[in-house]
Amino acid sequence: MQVIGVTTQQEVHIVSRTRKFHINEILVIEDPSLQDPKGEVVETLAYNRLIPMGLDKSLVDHQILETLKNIGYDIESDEINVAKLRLFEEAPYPVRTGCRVRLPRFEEVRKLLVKTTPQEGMVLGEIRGTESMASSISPDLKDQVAMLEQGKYRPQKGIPFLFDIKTMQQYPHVGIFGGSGSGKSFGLRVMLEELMKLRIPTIVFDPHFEMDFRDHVPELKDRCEKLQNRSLIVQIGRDVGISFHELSTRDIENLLRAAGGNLTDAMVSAVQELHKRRDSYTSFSDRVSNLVKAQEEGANGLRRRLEGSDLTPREAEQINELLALLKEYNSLPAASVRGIHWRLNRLEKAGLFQHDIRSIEQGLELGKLVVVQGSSWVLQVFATYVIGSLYRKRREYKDQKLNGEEGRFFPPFVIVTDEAHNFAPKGVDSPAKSTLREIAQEGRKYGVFLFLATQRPTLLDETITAQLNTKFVFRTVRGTDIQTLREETDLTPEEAKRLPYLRSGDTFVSSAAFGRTVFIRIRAAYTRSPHVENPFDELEQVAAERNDKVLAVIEKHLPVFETDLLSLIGEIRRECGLDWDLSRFKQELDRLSESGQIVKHETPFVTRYDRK
Amino acid sequence: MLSVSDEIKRKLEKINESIRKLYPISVLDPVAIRKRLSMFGKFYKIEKWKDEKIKDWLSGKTLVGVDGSVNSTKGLQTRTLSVFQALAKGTKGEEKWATDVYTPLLEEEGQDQARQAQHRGKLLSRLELEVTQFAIEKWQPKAVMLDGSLFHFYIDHIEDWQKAAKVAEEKGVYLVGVTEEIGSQGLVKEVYPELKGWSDRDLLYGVLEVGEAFEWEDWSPVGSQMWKMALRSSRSPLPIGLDGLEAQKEMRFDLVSLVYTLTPEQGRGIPFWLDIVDNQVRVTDPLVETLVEQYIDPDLRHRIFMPKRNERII
Ligand SMILES: Nc1ncnc2c1ncn2[C@@H]1O[C@H](COP(=O)(O)OP(=O)(O)O)[C@@H](O)[C@H]1O
Ligand SMILES: [Mg+2]
Repeated sequence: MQVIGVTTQQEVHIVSRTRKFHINEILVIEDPSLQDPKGEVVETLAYNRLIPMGLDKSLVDHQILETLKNIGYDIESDEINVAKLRLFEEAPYPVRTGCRVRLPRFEEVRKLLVKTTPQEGMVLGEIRGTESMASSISPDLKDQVAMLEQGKYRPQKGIPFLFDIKTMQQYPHVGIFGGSGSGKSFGLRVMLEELMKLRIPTIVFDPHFEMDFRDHVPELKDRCEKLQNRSLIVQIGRDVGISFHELSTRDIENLLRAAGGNLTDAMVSAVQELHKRRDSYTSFSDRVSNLVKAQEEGANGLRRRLEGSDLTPREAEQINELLALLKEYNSLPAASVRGIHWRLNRLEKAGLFQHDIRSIEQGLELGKLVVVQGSSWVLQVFATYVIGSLYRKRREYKDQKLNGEEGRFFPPFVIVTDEAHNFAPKGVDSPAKSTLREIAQEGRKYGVFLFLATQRPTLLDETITAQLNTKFVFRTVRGTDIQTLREETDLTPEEAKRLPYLRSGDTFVSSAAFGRTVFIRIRAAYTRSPHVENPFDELEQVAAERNDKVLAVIEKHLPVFETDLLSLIGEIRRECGLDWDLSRFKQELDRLSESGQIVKHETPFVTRYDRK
Repeated sequence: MLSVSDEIKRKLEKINESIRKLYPISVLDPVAIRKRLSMFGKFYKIEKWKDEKIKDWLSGKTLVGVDGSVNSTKGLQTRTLSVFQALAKGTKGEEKWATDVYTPLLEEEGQDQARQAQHRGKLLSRLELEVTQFAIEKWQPKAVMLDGSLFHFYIDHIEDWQKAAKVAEEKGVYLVGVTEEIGSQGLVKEVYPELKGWSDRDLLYGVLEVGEAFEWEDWSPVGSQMWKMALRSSRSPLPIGLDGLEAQKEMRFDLVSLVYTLTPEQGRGIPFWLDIVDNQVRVTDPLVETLVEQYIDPDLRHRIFMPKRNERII
C-alpha cells in the first residue's frame, strides 16, 4: 500500500495492487517526519484498467481475454484498489506522495477506539473495519460480543464498541435515527440490555409492545443470564395509572389536551374554574357531568321539573344541586363543558385513573428497567405525567441536598422512547414536549438522561435534537432526513452518501464524547421481542393448521360419498369452528384433492373422496 | 461548421493535387501490386491458433509483453523534464518495471532538438532492454513480444540489444518485435524505384488479405541479423510489421501465428497483450504533473517547468 497522487493535510489517496481496502479501516502512513499519521478509509474503489479498454470494443476482445485466461492470465490481478484516507488529525503539511502505508497494531489505535472497559461501559457492537487487528487485540477486549449477520451468529472479529455512559454527565442524551427496518428497535434493545447490565434505573415507553426481555435467544443463552429479573413491564390502566388527586389544574389541562388535541381558551378557563384542589377523579368528573346535565336541561326546565308533583325528596335535592351548579358556573359555555366532559371520559375509559405510579418508582429505586406499554395516545398522556412527576422527584431531592436538607433519595434515571417525534414534534404543541425540552437542557444537572429514537429526525423538536450529544445514525433514505442529520452531526459528505445503503444494524455513531464519527455494527441482542413472527408466515401457519384439522376430521370418515357431506359439515363446525355450507365444503375438498392430500373419484353416478 | 476562408480552401485543394501526383491512381491497384510483390517475396496464409494449440505451444511457460513510455513537461525544448518507464509483464502476473528521468538542463553543453530526441530514444530503449533481459533470465518465458520493431533497438542502443539478443538465444526464448506502422522504405525502392517518397507502408496498404503475411528476405539490413514480415492481423487495411532474430528464423511462423491469434479482429492490429502493457506503462500528463508538483520545489517549478500557456484562460 502506498500514498499516491495529490495529497492534502487532511486527506490522501492510497493504492494497492494486492489488497482490497475496507471502508472505515484504520491505516498508518509511514511518514516519520509527521510521526506516522493515522487515518480512516472513507471511500474505496477498485478498478480494472482493462475494463474501460474493452468497453468500446467488440466480443473479440472477450475472446482474446478468454485465450489469455486460458494461458494463465488472471484479470483480477490487474485490478487496482484505491482508497481515500482521512487523517484523524490534520497534518502540519501534506503527506509525501509515495509513502508506504500499513495496517496498525491494536495498541497503536487503542486510545482512539476504546474509551472505557466492557465492565463499566455499554458494550454495543463491533467497530467496522477493525477486523485486520483481530490478532493483536488485547485479551480484556476479546470475545465481548456476538454478532448477527445474514441471520447467522458469529463470534467477535474486530474491536468492540464501548459507549462510556459516564461521559453523559458532560455530553448528555442519545439520539437513534434511521428509517423503518434500519435497526433502531434492535439497537435500542441492545442499549437497554446494557443499561440493565449496569443496573441503571430506566423507564422505557414502548408504543410497539416489543420491549420484552424475558425471551432469551437460545444461541446466546450464557450471555444473558445476568439480565434476569432486571426488568419490569407495566401496562397503563392495568398496572399503572395517574393519581388524580395529585394533579394540579395545569396537569389536568395537559391531560385533556393530550386526550383530544388543543384546548380552546374557553375550555382552559372552564377547567380552571371547575377544578378544585384535592379533587378526586370522582368529585371532579361528577361536577362536570352534572353541569353538562344541568346545561342541557336549562334553568327553566329544571325549575319546571321541581314544580312537578311526585318528586321524592332525594330527587328534589338533586335538582336543586343542579340549579346551584348552573348558577355557580353560568358563565361557562356549554360547548366547552361538553368538550371537557368528553375528554375526561376518554381518559377514564383508558383506565388511566384507576392506578398510580408507585410500581414504576419502586422499579427505578431498585435499579430496574421499567417498560411502560399502552396504545400510542394513552402512552403520550401517561408519559407526560410520569416523566414530569419522576423528574420533579429527582430534582427536589437534588435541590434539597444542595440546600443541606436530608430529602428522600430518588435515583438518577434514563428515559427511553421510540417514535420520539410523537412525544416532542417540531412546530406543533404536544403535552410532553415542554418537559422533554427541559430535561434535554437541564437534565444532566440532575442525572436524568434521554435516549430518543425516531425514524423522522426532521419531525423531532430541534431544541431537543440539538441537545442529543451522541447520535446513532442508521440507514436513512429520505433526502430531507439526511439533510437534517448532516446539519445535526459531523457526518461527512461521503458518509452521508452511504446512508441510504447501510445494512440493517450498521450505524454511524457521531458523538461529542468520541470526538469523531465511528462506524459500527450493533451486536446481536441476547433477548428477543415477543412478536418476531412475520405476518405472512403467520398467515401460512394459520392456514396450515386449519388444513390439518379439517383433514383429520375428514380422514376419519374416508371414503366419503357426495351424499354424506352434510353430516360431515356439522362435524367440521363442531371440531374446527368452521361454518361452511355445502358448496364451500365441496370447494375445499376439491382443493385438497388438487394438492394431492385426498383423491377424488368421479363416475357418472356418484363422486367419491378417498385416501391417496 | 467553422467558416473557412477561401484562401485556405484554395491552398488545401492545391496540396491535394500535388499529393495525388505522388500517389497516382494508376499504380494503386492492389492486384498489380500483389503481382509485382510476388516476384520479390512470398505471401503466406496464417491460421489463428485454437486455445489448445496455444497452450501446447507455451508448454506451461509464461508469455511476456514489453513496452515503454516517455512523457515530458510542456514547455520550451531546453526546459523540459522527461519521465521514462518500461514494463515487462508476463501473463502469469509477473511484472518488472524500470524508470528514469531526464532533463537537458543538466547536460554539459546545450543540445539541439534532434540530439535530445535521440537521447530520449536511447534512454527508453535501454530501459526496455533492461526489463526484457530481466524477464528472460528470471522468468524463462516461452516468448517475449516487444512493442516496436527489434530493429530500432539495434539502431538506438546496439550494445544492450546485442546482449539481450544473446541471452535470448542462449535461453531459447523467442523474441518478436511488433510495429503498428511499417516505417521502412527498402521494399518500395526495390519494387517500384520510380515511386519517390513512398514508404513500404503506403505500398502494402490494402494489399494483404486479413490473416495474410508477406515476407521479403532482404527486408532487414544485412548487419542486423533479423527476419522481417508484414502481417495483416486485423480488419485494418494497414499491415503490421514483425521482426525477430535470424537465429530463431525457423520459428518465425509460430511467432506470426501467435501474434495473429492474440490480435483482436477489430483493433489496430497489435496483440491485446501489448495493448494491456501499453495501457499500464503509459506515462500520462497527470502523472508527470503530479511528480513534478511533488518533488520539484515550487519556485523552480514555476520558473523553469511551467509554460505560460498553462495560465491561459481561454
Ligand atoms: N444489529 C443487528 N444485527 C443483526 N440484524 C439486525 C440488526 N439490527 C437489525 N437487524 C435486522 O433488521 C430487522 C429490522 O430491525 P428493526 O430494529 O426492527 O428496525 P427499525 O426499528 O429501525 O424499524 C430486525 O428484525 C433484524 O432482523
Ligand atoms: Mg422499530
